[in-house]
Amino acid sequence: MRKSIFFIIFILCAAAQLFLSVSSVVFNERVLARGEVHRFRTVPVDPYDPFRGKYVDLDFDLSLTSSDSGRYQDGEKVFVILERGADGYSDFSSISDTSPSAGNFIKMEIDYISGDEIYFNIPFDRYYIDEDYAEEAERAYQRESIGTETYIEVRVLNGRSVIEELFLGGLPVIDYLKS
Amino acid sequence: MNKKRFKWILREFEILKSEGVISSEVFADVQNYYQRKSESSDNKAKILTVFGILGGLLIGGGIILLLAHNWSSFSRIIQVSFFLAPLIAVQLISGGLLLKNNVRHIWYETIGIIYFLLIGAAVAMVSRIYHTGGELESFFLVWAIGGLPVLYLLKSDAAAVLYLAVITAWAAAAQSSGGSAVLYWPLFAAAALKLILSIRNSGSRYYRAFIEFLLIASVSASLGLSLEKVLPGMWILIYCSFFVLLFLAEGLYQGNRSRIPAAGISGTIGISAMAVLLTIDSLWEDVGFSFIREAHRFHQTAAAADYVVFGILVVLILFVILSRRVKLNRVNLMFSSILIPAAGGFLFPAYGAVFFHVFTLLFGYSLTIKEIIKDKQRFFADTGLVLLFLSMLIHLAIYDGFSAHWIFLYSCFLIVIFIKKGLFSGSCGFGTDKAWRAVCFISGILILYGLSFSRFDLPIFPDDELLSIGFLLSMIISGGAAAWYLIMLFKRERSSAIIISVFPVVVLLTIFTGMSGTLLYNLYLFAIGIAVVLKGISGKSMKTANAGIIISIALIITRFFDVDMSFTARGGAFILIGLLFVLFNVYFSRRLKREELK
Repeated sequence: MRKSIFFIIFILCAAAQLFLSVSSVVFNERVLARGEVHRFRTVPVDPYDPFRGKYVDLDFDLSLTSSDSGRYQDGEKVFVILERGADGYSDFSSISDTSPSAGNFIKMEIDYISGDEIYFNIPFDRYYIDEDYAEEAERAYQRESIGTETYIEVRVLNGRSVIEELFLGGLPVIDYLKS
Repeated sequence: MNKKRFKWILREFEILKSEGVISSEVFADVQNYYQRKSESSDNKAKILTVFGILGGLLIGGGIILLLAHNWSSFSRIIQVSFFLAPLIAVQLISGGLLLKNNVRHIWYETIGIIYFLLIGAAVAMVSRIYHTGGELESFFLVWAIGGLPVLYLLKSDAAAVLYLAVITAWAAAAQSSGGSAVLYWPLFAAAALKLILSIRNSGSRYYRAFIEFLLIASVSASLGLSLEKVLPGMWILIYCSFFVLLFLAEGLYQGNRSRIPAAGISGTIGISAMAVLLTIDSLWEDVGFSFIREAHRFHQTAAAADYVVFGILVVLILFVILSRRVKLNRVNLMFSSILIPAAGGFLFPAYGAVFFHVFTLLFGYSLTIKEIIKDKQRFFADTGLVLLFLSMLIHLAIYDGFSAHWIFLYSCFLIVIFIKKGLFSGSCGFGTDKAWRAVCFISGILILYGLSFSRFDLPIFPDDELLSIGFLLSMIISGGAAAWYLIMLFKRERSSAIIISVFPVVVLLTIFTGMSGTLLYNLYLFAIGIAVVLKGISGKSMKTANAGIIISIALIITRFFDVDMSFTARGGAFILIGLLFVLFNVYFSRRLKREELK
């Protein structure tokens, strides 16, 4: 009797573990399938994570100038509204502490505030890459970063954002490296 | 055959003896026979345990490494199946284990380790397939909470140990990213409960000591990590009183002779380490009430927890002392007196380092005085001395935070101790004293360990001539000492002796041919680790066996985090060697079962 209860608890936990991993997969896939595309200019390098492998560290020149920056605090979670510029690249246009009912926005944490300038912990700051290509990618970036286009495409849905692809010289990074 | 049955049979024979059916000589023979048999099956069970744990670590770690290769050329759905398939497989195996009766406990441990590691792999894979943020903090937290059921449902202590490592890493990540790590304490309680329950059931004093050491290590790390840093230098008071508390608390168990003094040893290690560490000037900069931090990112309210922790420690120390079960003898006073320079330094930070220089020299010297250290406490003194000796050597070698005249003083100190311990002490002369043997063994293994890194592929000598002579000399001395120790250890076993004597050939070969010896050094050190384990088990020395386990696991952990080798190569090697261990265990446990049935 005790054993069967124990086993049922085990099944429930195992199911919860599976559910959590599958649901996060589904969640991300949904953003990728239905989300809107935004491009952000990047500054990549090649660091290392012992559990998740090599990645390109994405750095952005993105911040927000707001006159009511005094209302916010470091570490606060806010909604940042996106705006696509004429050149096709997106930028942060305004900030809100409640979830906007429409439009494209991302939920982010404020990193720090300096004067009117608000800086964020951007949720898409890593692009994981096959270790065979990681070093190559970094060198390619050094070559290409001046003059050509390096950017990422991000899908945005209901405040969540998922990276779709990193582009070097206008090509997806793996295609670029293969060519 | 298990112990219960041995006991049952012996009871029956005892009845036969008392009834006069068999003579007492026959009874003694029977008793001897079963004692031997029980010991040999005990030893075999221990080997199964060690191999099962190593196998689990290697397979689980190997899978994480293989997945971390980032197979980005495969489609996302295939990448998802890469981590889901092993996870589901290990869940099915665990379910099978739970349904089966009479499973050897070690299989729960092996599968528990793999299961726990695969949860981490799943969390890591989701975040890397979808490139979601790089915060290690949330990664460790999700891993720990997702893996928590494994500890209780598979009754796996090894998984609990991994869980402790993960939550400690989480506390470190949370602290470094500016968050608060107070959540560590409830997370810690979840694992501590499991581990304390299992040491109460186990009854083995070695196991008990091992778990106590682990819990103390995790708390020691997190004590600092969960501090709020609002009052700079608070850590000095908290750590010193924590280690003093551990040292004194050992006295509560004085009556228990079979106990391994885990708390006392941890206290000794902590006090000796603090004694050397706090002589560094830079640690005393900006300490004290005049440097309270008020910036927004320091949580003022959470900081109250720091004062509470310190208060609890002080109350506990007073409680231990006032309980009168701990005598305030000279040794206890000597170790506790570290609180004096700590408090003095906290109040007058400008003199903190000086206070500690004086304390450390006095403390180190008094450890060598026979009249103070009675035989019973020799062990603590030796541990403290070895630590002081090694850390001073490291200090001298890296030349950090020490001004020239302190270096001079420390060198004189070391020479005095050398002469005192080595030449003039009759009973513990040079080379036979346990403390010195430990120094030899540790330094030798450290050299091999250094060689196992691929970046030290060829022996590199510093450019400076004097330094390189010193380097060479220390290599020869400690290498020789280690070899001597190992030869003594394996005197009677020819096969192990051959393995050891192969080593110089390997070194010479790599030096003269310039070929890479990394793989050989690694296999060699791993083989030594396993040989030391087996030696310890057959010679009934848990200390030796534990040293071997530490060598093997340290090697596995460093190769896991080694940046210089590719993920696929390491992952493949890990899984292969891990499978060998598991296959050996499958074969060996079947044989053991047959033996037991006989």
